[in-house]
Amino acid sequence: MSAEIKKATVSEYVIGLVISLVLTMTAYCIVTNELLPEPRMTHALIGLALTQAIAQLLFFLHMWREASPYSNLVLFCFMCMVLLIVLIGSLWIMENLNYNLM
Amino acid sequence: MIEQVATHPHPPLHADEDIYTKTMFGFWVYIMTDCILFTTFFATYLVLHNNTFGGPSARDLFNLPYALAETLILLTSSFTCGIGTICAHHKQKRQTIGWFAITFFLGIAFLALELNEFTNFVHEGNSWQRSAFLSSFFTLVGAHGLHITSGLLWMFVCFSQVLMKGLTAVTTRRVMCLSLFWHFLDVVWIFIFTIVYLMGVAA
Repeated sequence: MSAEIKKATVSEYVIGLVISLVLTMTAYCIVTNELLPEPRMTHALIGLALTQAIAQLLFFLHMWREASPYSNLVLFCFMCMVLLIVLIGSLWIMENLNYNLM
Repeated sequence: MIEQVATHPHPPLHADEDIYTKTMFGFWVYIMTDCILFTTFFATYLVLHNNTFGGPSARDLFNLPYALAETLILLTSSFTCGIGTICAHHKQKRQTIGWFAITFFLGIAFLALELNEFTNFVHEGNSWQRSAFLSSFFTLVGAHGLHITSGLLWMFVCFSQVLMKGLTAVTTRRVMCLSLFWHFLDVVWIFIFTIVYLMGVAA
């Protein structure tokens, strides 16, 4: 029984590793071989990074697995909200200042 | 609490699990605040990454295969850390220490590569004082490196404790917190690799 449990969770980490490797190499190859034109390259890289982050959250950090610590998920969403406010807010404001003052 | 565990094997199981759940949640709160910290560093870097003040830009400085090597090393260390926690769950002391030792050496390798890169930059005159781009670069990647360093120190202390005390409720909890920290550092590195190195060289 415990051997089965062990196998199940080791395979999670292996899947996570393989997914992360594939996404990393894809992003690397896109840049070194210049496979995409400019605005699409940035979008692709961000998309790959977000996908890899989610894959690692799922497989390495086991998020969204437990039904009961709902609070983990709520906290994560709150962090994302603050993150978006700080990031988008900073970029927007600084871009605006750059335009108006320069 | 520890006396209870020693003399009453059954009831403290609930208390142990309770402490475990609360500790992991508390540590998760800390990880979330650390994410906010890195967000501010990222926002700063994104605002300033074109301000090269006549100095070298990302494209001139960054060696992509080198950064890829760092990325793969850190990713592998995150994986071996995860396997180590599975061993810790199954109370396999030797395997836990073994896997965390591998994680530790991979982390040292990563840090060595990163410090080497930083030293090269500084010796060429491209320190954090050169331009706003370099200031924000060193702040962001340096902060990540500091986290890695303290993670490695913690890892050393942690597996020393496991070596000496075995995988008790307390030491297992600490191993879980450490693995949470280490996984989180790899997630942050994904974004550093993408935004700093890949997009820096691509743009």
